Amino acid sequence: MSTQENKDHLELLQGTLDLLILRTLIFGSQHGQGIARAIQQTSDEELLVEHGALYPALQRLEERGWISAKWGTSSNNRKARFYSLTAAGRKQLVKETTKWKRLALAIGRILGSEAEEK
Amino acid sequence: MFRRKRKTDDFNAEIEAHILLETERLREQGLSEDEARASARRTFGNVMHAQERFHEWGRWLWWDHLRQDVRYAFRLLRKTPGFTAVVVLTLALGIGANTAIFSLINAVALRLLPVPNPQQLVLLQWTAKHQPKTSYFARTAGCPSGSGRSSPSPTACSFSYPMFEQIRSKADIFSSVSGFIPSGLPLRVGQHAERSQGMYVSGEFFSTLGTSAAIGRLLNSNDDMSGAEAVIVLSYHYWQSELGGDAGLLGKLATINLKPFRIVGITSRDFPDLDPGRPVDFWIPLAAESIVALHAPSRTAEDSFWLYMLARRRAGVTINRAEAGLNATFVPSITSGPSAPFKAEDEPRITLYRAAEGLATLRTEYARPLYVLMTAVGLILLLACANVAGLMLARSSARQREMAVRAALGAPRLRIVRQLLTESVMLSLAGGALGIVFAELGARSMVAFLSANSYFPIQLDAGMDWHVLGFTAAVSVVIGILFGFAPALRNSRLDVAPVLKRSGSQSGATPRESARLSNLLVVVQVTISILVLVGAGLLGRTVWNLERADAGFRTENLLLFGIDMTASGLRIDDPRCDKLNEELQNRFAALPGVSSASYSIEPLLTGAIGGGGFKLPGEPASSAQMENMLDVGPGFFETMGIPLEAGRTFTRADFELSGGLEPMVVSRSFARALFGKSDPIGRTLSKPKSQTADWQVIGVVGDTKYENIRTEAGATAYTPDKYRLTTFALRTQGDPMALASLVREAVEKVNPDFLIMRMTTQSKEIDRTIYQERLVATMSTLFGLLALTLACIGLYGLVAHRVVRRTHEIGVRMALGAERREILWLMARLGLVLALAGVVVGIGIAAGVTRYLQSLLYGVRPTDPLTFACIAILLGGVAALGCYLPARRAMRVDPVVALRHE
Repeated sequence: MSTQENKDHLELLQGTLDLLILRTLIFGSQHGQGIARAIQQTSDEELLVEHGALYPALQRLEERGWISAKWGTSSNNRKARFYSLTAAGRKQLVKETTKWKRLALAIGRILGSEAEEK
Repeated sequence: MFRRKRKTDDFNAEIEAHILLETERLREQGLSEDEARASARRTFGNVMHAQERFHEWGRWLWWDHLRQDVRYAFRLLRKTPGFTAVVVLTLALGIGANTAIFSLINAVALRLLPVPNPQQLVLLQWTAKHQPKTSYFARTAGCPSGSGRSSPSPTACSFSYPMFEQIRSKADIFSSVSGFIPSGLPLRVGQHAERSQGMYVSGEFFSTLGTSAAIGRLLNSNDDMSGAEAVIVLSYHYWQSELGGDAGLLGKLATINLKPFRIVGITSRDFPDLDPGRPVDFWIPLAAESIVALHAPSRTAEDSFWLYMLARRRAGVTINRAEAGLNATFVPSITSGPSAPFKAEDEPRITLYRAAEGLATLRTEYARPLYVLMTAVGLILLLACANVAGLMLARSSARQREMAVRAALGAPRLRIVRQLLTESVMLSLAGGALGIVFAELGARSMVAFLSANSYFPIQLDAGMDWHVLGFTAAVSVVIGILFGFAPALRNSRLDVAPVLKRSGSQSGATPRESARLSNLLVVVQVTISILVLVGAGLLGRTVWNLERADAGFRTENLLLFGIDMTASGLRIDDPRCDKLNEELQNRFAALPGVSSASYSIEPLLTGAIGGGGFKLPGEPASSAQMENMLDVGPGFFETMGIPLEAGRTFTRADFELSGGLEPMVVSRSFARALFGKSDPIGRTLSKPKSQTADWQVIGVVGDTKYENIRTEAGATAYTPDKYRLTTFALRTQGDPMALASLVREAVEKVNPDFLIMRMTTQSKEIDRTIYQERLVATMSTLFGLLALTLACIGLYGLVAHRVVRRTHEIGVRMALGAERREILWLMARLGLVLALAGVVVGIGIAAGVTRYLQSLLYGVRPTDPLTFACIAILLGGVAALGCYLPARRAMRVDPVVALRHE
């Protein structure tokens, strides 16, 4: 389904896109294209966000009340829909981040010990 | 939190903006305009896919599909107006019949009283192992379980006044307790005088219900004290319909038995009928009972049971807790002391009846006919369902190609099922909407019938409310799914390729499986018609028998009406009553068109009955026999046409005797029961407890039916009537009701304050007492004809469909030399076989279930072979016609045309 051409990119794990969007918005409001770029840049171009998948995700987060949106003007004077983090979204980010870190640590331990045995 | 749904356009605009921004970024990196745009689109991925996901995410999808389905179904149904009309009409009749009966059940049994928190209201009853020892016992309608005369464990709703006072003090259980007792009384307001439905109520009555007055005030505790001014509250409906809604009446005096009552208020317009369908015209305080009643039972005696109690539970007090709390003090108080009405071993106790829907008179009265009719209409609905399912099935085989195309284009199975179900539910909702119109008409005429045949005035509002509409909507949706399901499932399971490959003329070829289903549906329809028709046949014969039953006297041309003399202030024991009766009798007899006139304490065959114990003088009390008894005026037997068989009937002189033996005329069965074969004339009889003779037999007359036309003509003793509440019977030469105004004038000349009550004819009274049978017979005949018609349409449809489908084959057969007769048989055969199967199954089931109608039947056995045979022949004949008509078309097929029919 995906049309990406660069096979070196890592594909996003299920459910992580929401977390990354929330994390990106902690620096202030941003539009969809900006969010996509920011994720790609901060991950040193390791992660590829399929732009098409981004918007349904944004829509989902908005309906849950974690982000809010309004139309505004971008730095190069284009109309764009800007998203910002809500209080609930901030709380969700903390929760999700903790969870993700614990998960990453736990998986890391398992993978690490396995590697040592071999 | 409420958020506005985001519009699709907005989402699309955002995607557009994204692509612009990305294009610009790439251009800044040095790509050309076209390259940048292409790359931006590429990284975005599938725009359409994102849009679809947005769409689905917002759950717009099912709504869109539904709208699509509805629109499509609407177009489709409009394209086949004939089919749509038949289906909608069939369903409307089925649903309408159900809604009509349900709206009646709703009106008498389900609707909550329109008062605050009706579920807190309870009616008090007591039960015990034996009847209490009472000096007076009021048995008034409305008590849910106490109406049965001979229930094994006595239950009733009437209590003594001391019990009421005791229960009223239970403030921890009830927030309010009120006593009441309905009573018909002659009420005069200004020039308007009429025997009206009144109710004595304690001061708390209106506050227990929680209602307020439209104008003036309602009764309160101060009105219910002895010595307080006598006041009266009128019902809004009585005030409007009988008194013209005159607000000037407030503060004026009304009279009951010539006693003045000040009108203090009118109830609100929506004041509930405590007993649904039985409106009360006015309310007066319990304290007024001693003023009005002429034979007042000792009101405050412990052994006088006459008061009903309605109480409102405190919030949070359950029925069980309330009963336990009441019985803890109630039981000891009524089983101890010298005048205790109950013995402890009778285990008397109070039970609470939930009165949120009011009292139970009509609920009890109409339960049987309504449930019989509900069963009938339920069957009709099932039949309508089977009928429509058959039509849908036939049509769906014609739509196989369409379904195959849809499936081939990638429609999921669920979508196809949903599309077809949408169509059927739309049809049934349309049927339901039209059905409500039918139901409204049907329910209205049934209410009119019921109130015309009721002994007491009833006012039933069988109108549509949310209960009824909800019922109709639910029934419509359920049957829509029911009859739509089979065709929908079948069509969704299609194997696409063969259907698409078939040529035009074969496109309707039906797979075996669904042919079997259509056949089954036809059998079901015939079976149900048989059931309903057999019921209708048995009930029809019942009514026929009842209307021709011999009552033992001439029932035609008899005018009946009561005269209430108490309205003029006369007391029950006033010796003038006798003279007045004689004067009235003479005046009536002299009216033109009247052959003779007489009176009795109760009319015959109206459901009323009186009786007493009789024994031979000197025998012990235990040998007394209970027999019917009727007090009659002079000339009663001659007027009624009851033949004299021996001795003589009463003369005027028999009414003027006082003391000594009372003359008595007995019926043939009575004489045989008491005296065996010996000559009864001159013999004496006594009351169960008396030692000496009380009566002497002066004559023997033929047996008559007494209580109603269903009872056996049996033993009755007649004695001279000396009471003031009598029913006159006038034997007329022509239409009895034509004499109404002459009778009124005659009464007015004797005393303008006398009230004429319930003027009617003997035949009407007989009809009234068999209203249940007539109602159920008429309705089930209508339903039976409806069922027959529907089943025939089903059969016709099946055969017609076969003929159309097999035109080609018929052509071939004819070309090969088949006789037309053979073709006819070929086409009609299946329909006839199915109809026969339906008849056999239907007769079988009917023979098993008609015994549930037993209690309604008269003079006909539940498995009456004649009725069964007639119905089977009727259905067979109609079914044959239903098969012949379409099959005849097959006979006329021109082989040349048919073969070209490719």
